[in-house]
Amino acid sequence: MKKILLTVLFILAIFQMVVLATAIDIGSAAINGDTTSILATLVSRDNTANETGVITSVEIWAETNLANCEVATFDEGDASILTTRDNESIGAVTADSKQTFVVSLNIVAGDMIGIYFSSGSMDMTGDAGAVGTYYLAGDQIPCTGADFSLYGPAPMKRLSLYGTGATPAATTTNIFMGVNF
Amino acid sequence: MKRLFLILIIFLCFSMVVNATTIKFNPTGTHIKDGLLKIRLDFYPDVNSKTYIEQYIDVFARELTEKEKEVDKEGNFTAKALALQKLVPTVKQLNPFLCLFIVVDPNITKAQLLTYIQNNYGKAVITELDTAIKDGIKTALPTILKNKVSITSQAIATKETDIEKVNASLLGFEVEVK
Repeated sequence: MKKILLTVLFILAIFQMVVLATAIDIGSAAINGDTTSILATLVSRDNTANETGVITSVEIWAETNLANCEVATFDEGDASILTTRDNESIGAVTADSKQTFVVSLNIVAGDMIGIYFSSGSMDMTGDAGAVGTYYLAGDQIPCTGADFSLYGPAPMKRLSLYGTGATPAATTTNIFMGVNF
Repeated sequence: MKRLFLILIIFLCFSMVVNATTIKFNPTGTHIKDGLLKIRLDFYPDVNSKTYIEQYIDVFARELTEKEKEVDKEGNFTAKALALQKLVPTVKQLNPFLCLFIVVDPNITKAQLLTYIQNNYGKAVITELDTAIKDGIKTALPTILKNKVSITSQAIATKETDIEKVNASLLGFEVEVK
């Protein structure tokens, strides 16, 4: 009896193969940092996208209220040469607490997340272990092949900007011996 | 007997304080993406929600002076600036716990938006959103918001003037969800 049950269970397990979407995250935690940003287009080099898909939420912690804010994903060609992959205008961002925005930004594994605002400042955190933040004066969203600089001085700064999303929609596939049902 | 009656009255008064999530139209977020007109709705937490304590914050009651926001070469506030900031009066402020964008027709009215919110963002949905954000399960947001981020069912080619049009039409819109 046990053998029959085990066999049935095994066959069911083979037939039912669930392919789940993989979570994507990008950037650094949106926290109340110990330092403040300059007014420029800022791109987080920490925690580049782990997968290709869509960023569906962005979290921001601003030091002072941000105006005309845009968020974007960036592809780095040569070192520090960035091109915008996708962007969305989110408007004003209130300071002093974590603000969550539901967005839709296309992203490819290895991309970075960035932000521009016409006034205000972002929270940043100095961390010797951080990879740092790129900056370039003015509104660089969107841009093609723009040459960014590393935000200084030491220690490297983490930008309080974080995105999450997923790879394309989850699918449930019945697979047996390599054949989809 | 009188005392019992008094307690009952006080209890009734307290129970009449209605907790509600406020949803406000925010014109700064109106934009066009991929040919679609999107408006921004800000969700302000009710006092019993999980995110309320994080969003009910103290802010400076006035702009800081140059001395009060003096920073060092690393961009950090100087000790003197921090000491001066402690003397600046603060006020309480409630920030939104979620800002989301929905696709709309440029001719949308306040009445249509109200109906849409009443049909899609009831207390149960808002509680789910509040919990997902508080517990850091942002990947749950697309599932909760599935079929809830578009009033119109088809792509609409829009132009920049539609932004002004929809902002004028929806300016000041807000609704309480109880």
